[in-house]
Amino acid sequence: MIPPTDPGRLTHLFFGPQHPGVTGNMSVEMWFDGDEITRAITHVGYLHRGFEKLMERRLWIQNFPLVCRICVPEPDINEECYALAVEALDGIEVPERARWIRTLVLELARLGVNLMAFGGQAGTIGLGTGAMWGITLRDFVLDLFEELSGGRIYHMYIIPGGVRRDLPDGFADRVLSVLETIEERLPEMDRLILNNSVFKDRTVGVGPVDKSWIREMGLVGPVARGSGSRRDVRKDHPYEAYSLLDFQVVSEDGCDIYSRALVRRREIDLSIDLIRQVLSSVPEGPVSVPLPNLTEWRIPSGEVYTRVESSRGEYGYYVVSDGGLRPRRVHVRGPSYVHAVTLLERMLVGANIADVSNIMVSLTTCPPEIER
Amino acid sequence: MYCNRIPDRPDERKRIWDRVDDMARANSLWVTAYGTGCGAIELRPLHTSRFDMERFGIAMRPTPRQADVLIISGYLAVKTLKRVIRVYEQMQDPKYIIALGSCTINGGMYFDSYNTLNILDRYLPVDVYVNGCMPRPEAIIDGFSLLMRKIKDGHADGWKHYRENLDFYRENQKSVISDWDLPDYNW
Amino acid sequence: MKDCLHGMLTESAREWDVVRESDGYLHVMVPEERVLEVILGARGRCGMTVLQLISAVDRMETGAFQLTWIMEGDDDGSVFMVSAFYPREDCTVPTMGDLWPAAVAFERELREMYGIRFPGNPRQDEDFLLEGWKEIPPMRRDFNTLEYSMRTFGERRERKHIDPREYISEMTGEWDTPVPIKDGEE
Repeated sequence: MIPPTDPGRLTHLFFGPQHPGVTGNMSVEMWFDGDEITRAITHVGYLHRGFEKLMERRLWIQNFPLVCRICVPEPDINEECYALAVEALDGIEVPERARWIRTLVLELARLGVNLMAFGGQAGTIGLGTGAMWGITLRDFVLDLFEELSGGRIYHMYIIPGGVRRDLPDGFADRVLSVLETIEERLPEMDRLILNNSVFKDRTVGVGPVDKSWIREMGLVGPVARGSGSRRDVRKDHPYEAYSLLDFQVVSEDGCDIYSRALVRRREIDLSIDLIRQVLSSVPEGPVSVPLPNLTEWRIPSGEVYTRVESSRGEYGYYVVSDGGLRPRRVHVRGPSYVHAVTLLERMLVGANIADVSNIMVSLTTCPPEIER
Repeated sequence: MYCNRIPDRPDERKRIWDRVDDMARANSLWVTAYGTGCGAIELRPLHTSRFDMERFGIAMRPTPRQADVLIISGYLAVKTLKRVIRVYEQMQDPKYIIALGSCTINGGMYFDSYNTLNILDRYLPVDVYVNGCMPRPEAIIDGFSLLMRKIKDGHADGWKHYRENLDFYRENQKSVISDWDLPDYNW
Repeated sequence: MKDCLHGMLTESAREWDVVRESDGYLHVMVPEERVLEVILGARGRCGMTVLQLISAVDRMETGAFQLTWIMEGDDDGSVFMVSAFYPREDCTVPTMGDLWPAAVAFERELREMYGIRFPGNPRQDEDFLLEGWKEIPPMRRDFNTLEYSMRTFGERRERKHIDPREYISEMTGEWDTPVPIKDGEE
């Protein structure tokens, strides 16, 4: 039910694309009564590149450099989902060592994004030190990726059939030393951000996500797990090496911004633990399966929907093939599709104008995956 | 209240006071905080102490009225171009544009997309291009130091070119944006 | 879960094809008149309470759009997908906006990208991703995106192609093959 707008009494404001408090490049159009929002509409489309049309024009193997540019902070989940879909359609078996290396790469990417998001939550209320520390710690992880694959942000490392090349010599020791460095600095970040009375005043009880909305709108990820849900694709439908690892799903009960920040902080600990488990039990063997001639590679016709757990929630790819050299249809479903368009418009009603940026960052909306 | 004709050309003589001005401008470039595309994620590490852009005098400002430089970080969708034109024209002269990535030079990997521009130079005057996909923070600092050298030599006049050839730029912009509702003069 | 779905399908749809089936995953193709019953049955009786995606594929050769609804169960996360064919001209599909609020956004995007109309959707005609678009809906198979890009954004700059052997022989005056050339590679 959309409340009526009164042109004489209400203020009309654009929280537009050029704003340091917006995550990425999207805008929210709002109507206020004094200090309180009565109606909000999200506008997306500033980053639309037409990926799905471009993917229909390229060969199956030419798509994987294109696919990682859909989500900018965490590109490995896109490569993983696309590779899983192609392998499911073509019946390719990935070797054991490649599965463990893929798990390692996914957990490292998740660690980097969670560090930045946890610090970024402090940045929205003015605590710039927390934001700087989060980005600095993420730089250590990006250096590891640069050694592994050659690029800091876009790796293009996970391909259908395995991974592109083996781990360098001594890589495991360097990963463990980076984890030690991060673990030394985390207690200080905790003292600064979570033990801070100003942070608690601004985040406890603000931006509530009702438990009934989880089922009604299909919320996933830390947004749902901060309100008591226990759904995680890594536990329900394990892929890669997750069925052989030992971990518990992280979930809190507070339903507000503070509990979502706590969920992300505990997932940093979970990622560090999982990386240590992977490095201690990765087996030897080949890292990829030889693929046929890539310019003549035809995939049998069929349709599949594959899912991966990203740091924001459940990420899905719907791939349709008609037996040709090029995909017929690829549809990308990011978790921000529901969070930024449907949930945000409902959450902002009744909120204070000073909390809009706070709420948007706590949902960690990523506009490129809404509009591809 | 707003002027409704193209303003006059400034005086072209290079006096000693202009050279002092240029040196002052080059040493304190303030950037509008607008993340237009992919490359915005490599602008955040520039704040941290590892790459430290504040030692060059570069800082991020939230409003375009206080800034000199606009960084176009990657491809531009048509919907974003309309907002970027508005932001660019709100900045005060002299102003500069740095274009990051290969998508602004010749279309990059989105050359056949129906929603992204191919050549940025037709719509906005660009001073420095930085290569890469996406450029590292050290490459962005290299681009900034090239811009500073250009300003000190007096060659960075994209804003003068925009002012004098406004018809050419407006015609290109209107051919791409179909629901045009911006003013026809340069603010 | 699977038995409940099979039972519900036998009652509501009478005939249905299985597109793909595996552990915790079922994808069926039903006739277009039965779609609403199947979806309501899955939601009400079999616990598939979460809608993840509404997607469309343009089957231009047979003159139809294939619409797919992807649903998930709330307690264990298993996937159930329903597909149906609709005629391509003046396509109208029943809306799921009353059952799930997230479906309103999915249907807005499908109207913009394919031209499929969902009568009953309250925000059907608002622009979602494109602004001021005047051509046919861009995701249809008969829209040529390269030709549109060259026409609207102009021709790109010329690119030079440099053969490494010629370049090196110009720079150093000679071309010595340090790496033997394999057969068929030239």
